[in-house]
Amino acid sequence: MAKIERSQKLFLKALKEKFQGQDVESETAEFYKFNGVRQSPRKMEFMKASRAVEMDRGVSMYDPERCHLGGIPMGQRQLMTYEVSNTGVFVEGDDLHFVNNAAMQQMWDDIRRTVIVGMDLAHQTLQKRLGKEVTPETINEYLHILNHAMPGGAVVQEHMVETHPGLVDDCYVKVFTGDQELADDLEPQFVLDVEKLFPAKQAEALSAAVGKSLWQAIHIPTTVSRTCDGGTTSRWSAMQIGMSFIAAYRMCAGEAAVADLSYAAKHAGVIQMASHLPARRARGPNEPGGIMFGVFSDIIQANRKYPNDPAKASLEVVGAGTMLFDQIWLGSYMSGGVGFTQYATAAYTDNILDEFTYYGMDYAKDKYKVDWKNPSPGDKVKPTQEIVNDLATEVTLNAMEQYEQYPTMMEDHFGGSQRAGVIAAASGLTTSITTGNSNAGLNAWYLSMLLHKDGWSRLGFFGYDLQDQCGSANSLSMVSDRGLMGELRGPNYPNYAMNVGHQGEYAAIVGSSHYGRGDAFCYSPLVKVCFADPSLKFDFAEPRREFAKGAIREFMPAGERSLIIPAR
Amino acid sequence: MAYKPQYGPGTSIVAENRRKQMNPGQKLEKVRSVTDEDIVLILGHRAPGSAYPSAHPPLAEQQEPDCPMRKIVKPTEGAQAGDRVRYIQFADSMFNAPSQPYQRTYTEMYRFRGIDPGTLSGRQIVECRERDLEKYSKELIETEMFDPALVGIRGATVHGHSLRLAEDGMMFDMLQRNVLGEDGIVKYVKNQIGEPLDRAVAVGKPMDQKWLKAHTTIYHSLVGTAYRDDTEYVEYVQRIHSLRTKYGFMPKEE
Amino acid sequence: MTNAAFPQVRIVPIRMLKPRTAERLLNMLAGIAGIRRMMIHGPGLPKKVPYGPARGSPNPHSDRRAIHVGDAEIALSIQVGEVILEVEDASVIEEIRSHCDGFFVEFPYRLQEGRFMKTAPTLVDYAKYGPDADTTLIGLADPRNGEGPVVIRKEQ
Repeated sequence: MAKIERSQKLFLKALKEKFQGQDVESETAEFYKFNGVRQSPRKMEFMKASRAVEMDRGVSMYDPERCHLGGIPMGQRQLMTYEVSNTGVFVEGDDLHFVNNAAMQQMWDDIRRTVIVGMDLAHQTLQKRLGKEVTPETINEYLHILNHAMPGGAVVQEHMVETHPGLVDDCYVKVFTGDQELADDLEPQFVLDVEKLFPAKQAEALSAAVGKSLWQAIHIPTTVSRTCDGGTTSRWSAMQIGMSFIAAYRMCAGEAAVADLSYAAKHAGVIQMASHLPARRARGPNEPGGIMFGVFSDIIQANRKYPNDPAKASLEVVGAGTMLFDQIWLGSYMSGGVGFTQYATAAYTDNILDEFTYYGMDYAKDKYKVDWKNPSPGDKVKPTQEIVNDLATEVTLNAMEQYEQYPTMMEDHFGGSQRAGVIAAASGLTTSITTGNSNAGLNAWYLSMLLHKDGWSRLGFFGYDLQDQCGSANSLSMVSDRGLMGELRGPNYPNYAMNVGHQGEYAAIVGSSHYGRGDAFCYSPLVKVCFADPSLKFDFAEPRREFAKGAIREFMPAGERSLIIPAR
Repeated sequence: MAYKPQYGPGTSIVAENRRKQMNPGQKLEKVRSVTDEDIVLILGHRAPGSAYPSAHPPLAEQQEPDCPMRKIVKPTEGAQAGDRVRYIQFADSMFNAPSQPYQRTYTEMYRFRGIDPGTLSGRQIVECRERDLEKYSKELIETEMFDPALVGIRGATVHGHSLRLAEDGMMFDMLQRNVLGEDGIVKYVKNQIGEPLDRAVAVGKPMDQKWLKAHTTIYHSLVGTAYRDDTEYVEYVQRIHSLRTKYGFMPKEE
Repeated sequence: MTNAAFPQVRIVPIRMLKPRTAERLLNMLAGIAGIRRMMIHGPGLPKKVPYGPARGSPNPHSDRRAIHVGDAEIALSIQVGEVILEVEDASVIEEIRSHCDGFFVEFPYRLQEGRFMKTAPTLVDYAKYGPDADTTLIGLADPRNGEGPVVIRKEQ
């Protein structure tokens, strides 16, 4: 009896909270008059459909009224919901397919629609060839015009067709420089202020690396890069840049200097986010296969927001990287079809990779006295083969033991490929962060794979026979590109271009070596500053949280079309 | 000096079992008997007693090109007869099943001829000429490489290797091809691809925990031998990795 | 982002349960006051062979059968690997633990506290239930499975 009373008490408490000011124990209370779930036509429809099924099969089904009257709703599932790691948000696998997730789409849109274009070449043309004066005032004027033109507003010529501003509100241009004096002279609305956006140490390094140059961070409309492709971005932007120079500096549209400005904007001064790919891949620049891992680790901004947690910063790269490279690039661009979501999400759900990686951090701290929470080049361990082997072995053995000791973890990652990717990633990240050397991290990945294969006599699917069992020999010894090897490789590096569950992790291993050293950037200071922009639709400092927001329909993307389609 | 295979490192029982399975010089212990007809039923490729369908005429009946390799390599019986290529596929539980995917492949490469194995995490397939397959399958099922509860003969829908066992000790099988009877004997009621059999095929009693722990070829810290404890094994893998890394530089031998 | 107020636990036996054991366990749990919702999870037992050469043919399986929990009949379509529960407060967890300690005598189990169940609707729920999904029902069934949760009532 006591149990029933307690249960009823809790039920009444809940009712009282919901219907404040009403006597919930009265049978004629107001809340009964709402008609409960029957207010909702959709629920009425469900109940009607459910009745029909029940009549057919003889087993009860959807019954919200009864359920609310004290029964326990019980369901059965073969698929589990996942927590997007580090977010507390539980989602279905379907919620993490990029077609169903607006945040995932926007992350890729925001990269594809971005180019960085230097202003120095153009300014030299204007000053030295045409004798025009370039001052902060003229630059401001130019930026006003450019932010009118870039989304599709007409300049120079009359009777031009324009785009509806409501469709292209995500398109704009800001500028940045390492010259704080110049930055202070420009209109704040147009400036990515390195000093304000980055922690002091990082800001100092970035400003020094960018120097006196002035760069434009350009984001063309999402709708445009979706309708066309990544190769469009620099073209769309160059055309509007040319027009804006003509207008801002009162040039004649036909004069020869325009060609120089165009050349600078289209070719000489452009930083693409991704290089174009060989003909057999049939993709232009700014498509995922051409993003170098060093650039990708600069695009992701978690190390800016969490400079004292290189592990988290790296795990964010894993999440973003597996989404872009596995789900979108390999899954759909390359293989075609619905893709490899299930496999990719293993690396950024249920905190499993996180746990393995933080174990590695603790191990490095205990054994090698690396104060990973205060990243600096000073206490990095020399990456000898012996130390790489030690770190990779310990992290791998621990991860395997976790799977063995917690059978539900093994069932969560029911396929060898999921386990292999996660175990090797934790080994690589640990080694990178501890040594500050991405080659060492990649080498650790491959030892992890070999250990895993021999311990359990199984690894991933057939492809692992190639990529992961020959990797030891190509992770340190490529003489021709010994400098910045991981940073300059990308998804189309021959040995990396075949297996899901690798590229995002490789990118993170590359990034983590820099995060572990406390570097301000991995490969490109320009890219790092460009994606620190708080006006971007996607927050690149929190990719996993953004994906979770997408899964629960709380992420607002760009690419609005309701203005031009019939109302529903 | 003639090369003498060592079949892998390690001081643990797991390592020892791996070497034993691989080494064709060691006779595998026969643990159960399954008739030839029963093997054919489980495989499900042809009806027992029916002729072997062929992919080409017997070698003796066709003109063989004058090829030195063909003179050196003696064809297997199945190749000689022109049989089709068929398969057997195993799913091995990680809870101490006696053989495991790569282990199977290595073992088969040492012990059998004319085979094409494929190794994945949840299953291992071996393909070869049909009559060779039946012979090899018998060996794979009757010996210590098999356990009726922890090894599944599954051509498709293989999910189970990483799952907890059922209460009765059987590895999960979505298609329940094999069932543990009240008499304690496991019987196949469906063939390897899940088609019901006209009669059940008995494959013997599941081995007990002690036997499994003593015969398995997988490391497992919860139910078997911890990988970490076989220091020699781990160090050997590290050595292989280190040498591969170093030899990526193509060092010159002094 | 989500901040579910109610504690969740999961019961993980070291073995997957046969229908009869699952039935006994669930009936025992249904008798404990303060359980808000439950879910059983495990590998699926499809009625037809889902893929492979025998795709589409019937798949008889002795563990795919109906069990009775409280007054409800449940057509099992999985092998029960774990039971996930959302409870009113921490005291209920202790009660579950003491019941389970008595229940699992043949093989061990683990009772884990944490977050295992959806508490806020996601896109999938929006597609399935519309904008006002009932939060007591979300996440209890596979997204694309037409069969929703059942309601168990039992004298307590």
